[in-house]
Amino acid sequence: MQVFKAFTKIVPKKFLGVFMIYTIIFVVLAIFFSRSGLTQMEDAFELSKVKVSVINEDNTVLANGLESYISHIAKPVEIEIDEESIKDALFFRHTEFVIFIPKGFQESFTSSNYQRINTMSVPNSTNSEYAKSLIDRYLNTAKLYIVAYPEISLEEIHEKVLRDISTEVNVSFLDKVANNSMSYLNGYFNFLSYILIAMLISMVGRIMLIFNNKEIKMRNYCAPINIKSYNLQLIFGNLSIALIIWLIFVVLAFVLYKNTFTQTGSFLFIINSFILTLLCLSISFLVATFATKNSIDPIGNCLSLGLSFLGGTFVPQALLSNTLQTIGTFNPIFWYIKVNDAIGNLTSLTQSTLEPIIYGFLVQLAFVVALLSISLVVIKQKRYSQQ
Amino acid sequence: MSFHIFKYSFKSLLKDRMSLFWLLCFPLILATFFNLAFSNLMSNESFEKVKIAISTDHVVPEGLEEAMKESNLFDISFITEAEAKALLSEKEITGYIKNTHELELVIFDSGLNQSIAKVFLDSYLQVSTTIYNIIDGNPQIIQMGFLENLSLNDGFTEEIPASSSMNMVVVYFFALLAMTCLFSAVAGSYSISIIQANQSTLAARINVAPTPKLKAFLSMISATICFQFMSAIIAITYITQILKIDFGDKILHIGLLCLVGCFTGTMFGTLFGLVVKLKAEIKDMLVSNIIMIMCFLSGMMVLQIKYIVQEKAPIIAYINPANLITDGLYALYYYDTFNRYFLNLALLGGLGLVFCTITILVLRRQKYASI
Repeated sequence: MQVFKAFTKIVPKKFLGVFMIYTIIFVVLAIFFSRSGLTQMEDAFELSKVKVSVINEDNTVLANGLESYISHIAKPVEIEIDEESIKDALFFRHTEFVIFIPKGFQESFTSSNYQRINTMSVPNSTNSEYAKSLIDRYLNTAKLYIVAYPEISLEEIHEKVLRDISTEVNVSFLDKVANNSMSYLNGYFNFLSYILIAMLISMVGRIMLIFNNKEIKMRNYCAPINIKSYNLQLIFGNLSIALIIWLIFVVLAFVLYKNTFTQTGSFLFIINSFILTLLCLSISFLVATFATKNSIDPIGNCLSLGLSFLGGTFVPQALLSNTLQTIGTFNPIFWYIKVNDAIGNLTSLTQSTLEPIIYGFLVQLAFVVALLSISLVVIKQKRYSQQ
Repeated sequence: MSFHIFKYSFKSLLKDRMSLFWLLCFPLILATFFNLAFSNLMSNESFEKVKIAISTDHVVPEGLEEAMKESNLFDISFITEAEAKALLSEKEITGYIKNTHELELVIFDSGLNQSIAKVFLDSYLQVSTTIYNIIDGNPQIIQMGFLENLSLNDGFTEEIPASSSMNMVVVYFFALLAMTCLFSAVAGSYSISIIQANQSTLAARINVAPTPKLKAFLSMISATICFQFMSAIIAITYITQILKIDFGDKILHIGLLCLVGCFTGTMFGTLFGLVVKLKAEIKDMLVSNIIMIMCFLSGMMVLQIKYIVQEKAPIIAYINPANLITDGLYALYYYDTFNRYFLNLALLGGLGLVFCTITILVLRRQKYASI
């Protein structure tokens, strides 16, 4: 086991730094994603909440009633009231709809030329249309009551309006219960694809470069050890690194998202990420056959970023353009993310739901075999050409 | 002599394939990926009519269809419930409405379009309740022409235009430009290693020559800045002309900001190279990672980070050169006034000058009897 021993000596000395940097970046990002991610759903149906900021200058009964209604049904966001803050908040979608209730709004409400409520929003967005309809609905109902009962106070009208507005239509789901608690794990494992591929190329690739160094190789080949066992030990070494990394990240997922890990399908994430590990390993193998010491970083970066961007690691696959989705068929990472998303949407384990997932597994494994055989051919070619 | 050193520093940068890749090609490749991945990102924000079906198996409530048409929110189709179910499970429609004994909305999962449909139906029910309540409490009102004068669709809002330049994705490209400018730190750190006699043999040779150190240093630095500025211009041209990302028309201001950014980046690199005494490889890795973290904080990977940092820890936003560049470009793109742009430009330049002064103060008059 001399080769494997040499392997275990090189790795901690040279690659602990790389490993630490990637892990730290990944953990920070993963935590950030889970914080800013979707809130867990409690009801079966939840209204999408538009982020609305109300700036109430009127402070009358009607204006306050509107404000409390909006804050109840939308997601109120506090912002500072100067133009720059408002504009910044809108641009970064911190808030999506800003409502200014002008002074004297209530007074002029029933007259024919009433004061309008000023709004600021992201142009042409669905959310702002929705927020507008909320305002109009409240005010229209209030106006009806004011016209019908001119004698009663506005507080009573607010109550009447609220009571009417709380009537709701029944909503039912076609055949599943909305379930979103898997989305954290889904996001975590999607993001893992970038980290794993970047990390394995830079680690495995470099280790292979050391062993592929011409002089070291010549020295090793004249040692009394047969080439088969030499190569097997190398493969064993690379596999064990990959497996250790994979284990660490799976355990990390377990630590970060304890409660979601007991759900159906979470073990499928683990299987999928294992296949991904093999996939990344075979990619790094292939890269190591032609990369040189100087070119491995550029190649690794381009490959990892390229495959992840085009595969939908950073941007949800549904949002990728059609051409990209077609090209994605040739991208192993695309398949990985596709399977992950399918697992994330899984509600029950039946044959029909599992079929696409298993198909995805097989496609990825086919990629592994293909990439490995290409690299073996290249290695063999190189050996002959050196002689 | 200055020009001689400048020329050869520039040439050696051009000949170094590694620097050529990292300083020039890498930003272009990233920009291409950004463009491919984000091209569809913003399109889902614009409003499209909600596709909804009404089941014909039951009686459609009176007035519902007219109200839905009037609202201009829906794309309505009338099909049987079985067809609707099939369409829904393929996500062809958002949901369907059936009226068994009361109104019911059937959907596949939650989302904005579903919310719109639900809110609309809610409002339909609520208006009916309101009218019913009013008439119930005050039956004479019908004789007073109440129903004829009903106005339920008054608009109470008026839009103040914020700005037409609302495309969030450009910030990714701004951060990318910031990265391009600041990557000059790698070259800056390298130039220290060939001017500081105890860091390399080449530096020892250069120090033996009768050229004043300051002169040699400044020439090398200007070569780095020039080279980096060139690649920034190439990146800008590529992004605006080939990828067709709209950066606005203030192209000179963008150029100026990038130039100052290259200066600050280089100076950051020299200071770092001077203070940190590690092997060249590790130094390179550290510098580029620090730059990456700066870019991360200015929103290159996750846009909202920039806003969060600005709100929660404005000091970090003001001392982070990557954020100053990104914010300056953002201010140019989004605001009509130049105040914020010039504030960023001044802070960025100031930061560069501080780095530069410290570097020169540390660098000067270092002599070695033996190395």
